[in-house]
Amino acid sequence: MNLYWLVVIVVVYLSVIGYLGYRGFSQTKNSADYMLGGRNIHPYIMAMSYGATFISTSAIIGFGGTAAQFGMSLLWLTVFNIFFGIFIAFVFFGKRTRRMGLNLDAHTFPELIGRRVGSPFIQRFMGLIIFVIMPLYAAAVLIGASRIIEGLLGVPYIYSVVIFSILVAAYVILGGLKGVMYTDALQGSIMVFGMLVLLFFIYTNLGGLVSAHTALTNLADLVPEGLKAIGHQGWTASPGLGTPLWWIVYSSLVLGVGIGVLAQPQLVVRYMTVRSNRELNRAVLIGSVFILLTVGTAFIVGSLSNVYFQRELGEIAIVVAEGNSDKVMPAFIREAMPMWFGYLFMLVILSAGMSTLSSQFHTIGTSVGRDLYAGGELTKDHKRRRELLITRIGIAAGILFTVFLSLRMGAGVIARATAIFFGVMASSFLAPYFASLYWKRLTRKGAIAGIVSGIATAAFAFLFLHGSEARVFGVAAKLFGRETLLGGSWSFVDPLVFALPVSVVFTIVISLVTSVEDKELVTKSMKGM
Amino acid sequence: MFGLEDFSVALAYLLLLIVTGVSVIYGIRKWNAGKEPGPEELEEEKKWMKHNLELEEEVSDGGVS
Repeated sequence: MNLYWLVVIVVVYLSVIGYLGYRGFSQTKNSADYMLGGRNIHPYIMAMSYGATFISTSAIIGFGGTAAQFGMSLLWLTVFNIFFGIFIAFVFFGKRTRRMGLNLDAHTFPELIGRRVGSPFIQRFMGLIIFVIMPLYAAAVLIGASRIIEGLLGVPYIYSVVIFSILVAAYVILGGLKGVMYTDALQGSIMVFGMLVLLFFIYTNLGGLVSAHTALTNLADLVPEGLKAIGHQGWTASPGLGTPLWWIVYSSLVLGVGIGVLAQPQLVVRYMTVRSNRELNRAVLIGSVFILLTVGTAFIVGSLSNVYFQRELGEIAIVVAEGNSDKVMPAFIREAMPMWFGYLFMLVILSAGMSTLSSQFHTIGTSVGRDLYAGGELTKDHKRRRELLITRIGIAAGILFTVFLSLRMGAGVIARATAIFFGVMASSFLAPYFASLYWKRLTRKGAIAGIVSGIATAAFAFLFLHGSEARVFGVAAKLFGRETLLGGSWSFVDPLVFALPVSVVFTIVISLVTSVEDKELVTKSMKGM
Repeated sequence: MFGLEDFSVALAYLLLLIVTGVSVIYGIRKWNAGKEPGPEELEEEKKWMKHNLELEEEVSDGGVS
């Protein structure tokens, strides 16, 4: 690629983003009416903004690479992404979240749950969990973006991480831009366009939909022995039932990420910024098409890249990527796509990475300042200044920790890191969150029990049951002399499968055996529902 | 179906199109459903936005909401 042209394109892109941010800035600063105008946004803008925050380089680069390795059974995740991540999220979670956010004047996810049951402890505890674990997901997104810079420009990985993180840090600190949905919407539009080109290219290049899929089916004999041993049966086949790969694909990736999206703190706040339920209804339409074209394309192209690489280079994708699934998509863009697309894809990646990372760092900052430190209670000026300071220190610490993780984590980690984060969020927050919205009998103690039991079970499973993390931590090995307490395929079952039911049971049972602490608060929370 | 012999994967491909289709139809049918917020809700929204802007200012120097 021509570095000169790339720099010109990127500078123009950043200028447009900056201009949109400045426009949003000058508008929203003026008065409360303008602020309200900020909420009165077109559903296209809302859906694109949600989509750009939801779908990141993790999905496109990380999960695209995972699809290249494991095959098209990953399309089940896209089905879940659309059904749960858009339809269920907007219709059954979004509308009530929006209303409750207004009723309780809540501005973060922990604040919503904390105020619903009148518990600053919940707000603080949730803030702490998010602050500690969110950098893992941010690192997954940062790695995805950095692998593209490395793959397309040949910049060493370590520099790619530093360059992209400085870019995002400047983006967050100088402007925030978080609430300016127009920038997100522009980024979402660029993502859709770029991925649409990619989808069109792969199917036309491989002779159409049916012949491309048939060619991929015919490669089944080339599945590496290591993958065959854990249940891989070809790229257009589901892994063998109950095999380790079956559990990896369906429990961690499809279920964990597919359901986990419902309890994402950075997405929950998005519902609160729409004006009415009508906008959420309309956004279902746009959001579903957005996910189909971005994630669906990434998984299809990732899988089919095996056919392309086999024809052109005589190797399957993961071999071309030197065994690192995170490098498959960058290698495909570099080898298969015309030069102009490389430039376009850089913008797709900048968009996908920046929109998600900025909302992640924003969430990290508010989780430590507003939720953990202030517990949503402080109003006095001198304390507000301290909250402000702690929020910013939190963002800086979050960015540094993310960069550290990005440099330390090994190859092919994007999908795993994402799945861990999504799984932990669902395990600990989903049951109390759903109950907060729909169940008047939820008590403070029930909500606390649901969150604490969920996170404790997940932590236990990561340390003692789930092989890939238990091996890294080594606690089970030290205490019991074996890597995990579960044998065979069971050590591949995602912690979410244990932790979410535990959290559901604790939320329900403890609520039923205790009484609602503040009935007026319940009425206030559910006003207008 | 779609050149995919494995039932599970073909079903995923089909469901992908179906859930998108259902979502699109839902969005179209409900395009005008849901009422505009009343005066009381508008006041609540103003208050909420004001507080949200304060939070945004904590996060970034630019104070861009």
